[in-house]
Amino acid sequence: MIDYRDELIARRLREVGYTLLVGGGKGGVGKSLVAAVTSLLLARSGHVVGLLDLDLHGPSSPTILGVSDKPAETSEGIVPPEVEGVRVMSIDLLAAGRPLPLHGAAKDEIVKELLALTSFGRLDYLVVDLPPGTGDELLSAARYLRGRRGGLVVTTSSPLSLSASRRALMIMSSLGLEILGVIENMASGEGPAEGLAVGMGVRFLGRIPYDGGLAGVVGKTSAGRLLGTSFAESLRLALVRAGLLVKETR
Amino acid sequence: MVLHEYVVASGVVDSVAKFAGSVGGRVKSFRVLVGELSMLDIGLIRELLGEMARGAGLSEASISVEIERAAIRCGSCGAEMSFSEAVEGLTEEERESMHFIPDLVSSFARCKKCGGPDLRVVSGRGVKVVDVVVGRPE
Repeated sequence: MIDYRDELIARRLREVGYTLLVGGGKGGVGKSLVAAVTSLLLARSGHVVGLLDLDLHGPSSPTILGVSDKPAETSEGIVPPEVEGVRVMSIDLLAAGRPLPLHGAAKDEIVKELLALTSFGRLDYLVVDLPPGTGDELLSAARYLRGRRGGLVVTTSSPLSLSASRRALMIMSSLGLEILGVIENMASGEGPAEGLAVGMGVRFLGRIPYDGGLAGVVGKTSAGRLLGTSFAESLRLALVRAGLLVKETR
Repeated sequence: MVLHEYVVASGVVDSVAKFAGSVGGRVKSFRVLVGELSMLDIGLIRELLGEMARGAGLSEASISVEIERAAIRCGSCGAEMSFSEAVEGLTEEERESMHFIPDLVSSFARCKKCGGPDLRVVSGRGVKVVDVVVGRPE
């Protein structure tokens, strides 16, 4: 049997300069926000950016960036809506807020369909928002997203998050991903994530202090305002340490 | 729902042409199974494949396009549903989302027997290319 989607995925990936997978072990540590704001920062710096939300059970990229338009059907595939220069694709743009009760095989199918059918066009960066853990979405993304690619791991100082992030780093490395580094989110003072990074032999990219003002700008029509937060500036510095070309936005 | 057929047909033709190139022969025939849940226009797929095959060096290939019937099983009670049972009552928008991502059936439909959401697609999901027959190179 030939899976025609393999050819479509290969065709799409030829147009992608670099794929950045944003993951981590635990839920609620800010992976989706890091992925979304990273996309905005890269776009604001002049890069052509796509954001692919692969958190299939809890997609949040459209909510964070205030996107609700359905992707457009074209002869090239389904074209994602764009906000602040970021082309955003998420299963939620098709499921429209409905629950997503998916088992393993279905998740692999959905990841493959999204990669095959989504026409991002030429991209400098494809940022991928992964769900917590090291399950189907990470494995499928690593299997299908070949080419130049790397992983960014987000954790908090919680021992549970650090433990899960350690496992995520091990899996990402063994899947052949270049690890760009570890970011400690919601940090207060000197946290333990640097020790995790050093112990795993990867770069510690920095701490993002808790930003109480974020809640007010996450949501509708707030994508640009996200860039004005202290969260965005701390993240920008971390991305510079990772070697990504992001400019000051303030 | 026409442009999606175009994307699928071009992917199928390119895949088969690439396969033929990798084995160094000419494709004599292949079958395309179109899953019911994808709700693709099978007549249009057939037409597009014929046109595109001619432009991809597959003009000699005999192409058969068939519907693969859908079966959806409930993981909770084991009941099995047909395509028409699964999509009964769904809105046009919900059907269109399933047109792109057939596994979204579990988001939009519920088991007809127990009402549960644990629906698993057994068959008739997407598009498969099978029985590719390649002749020896001349």
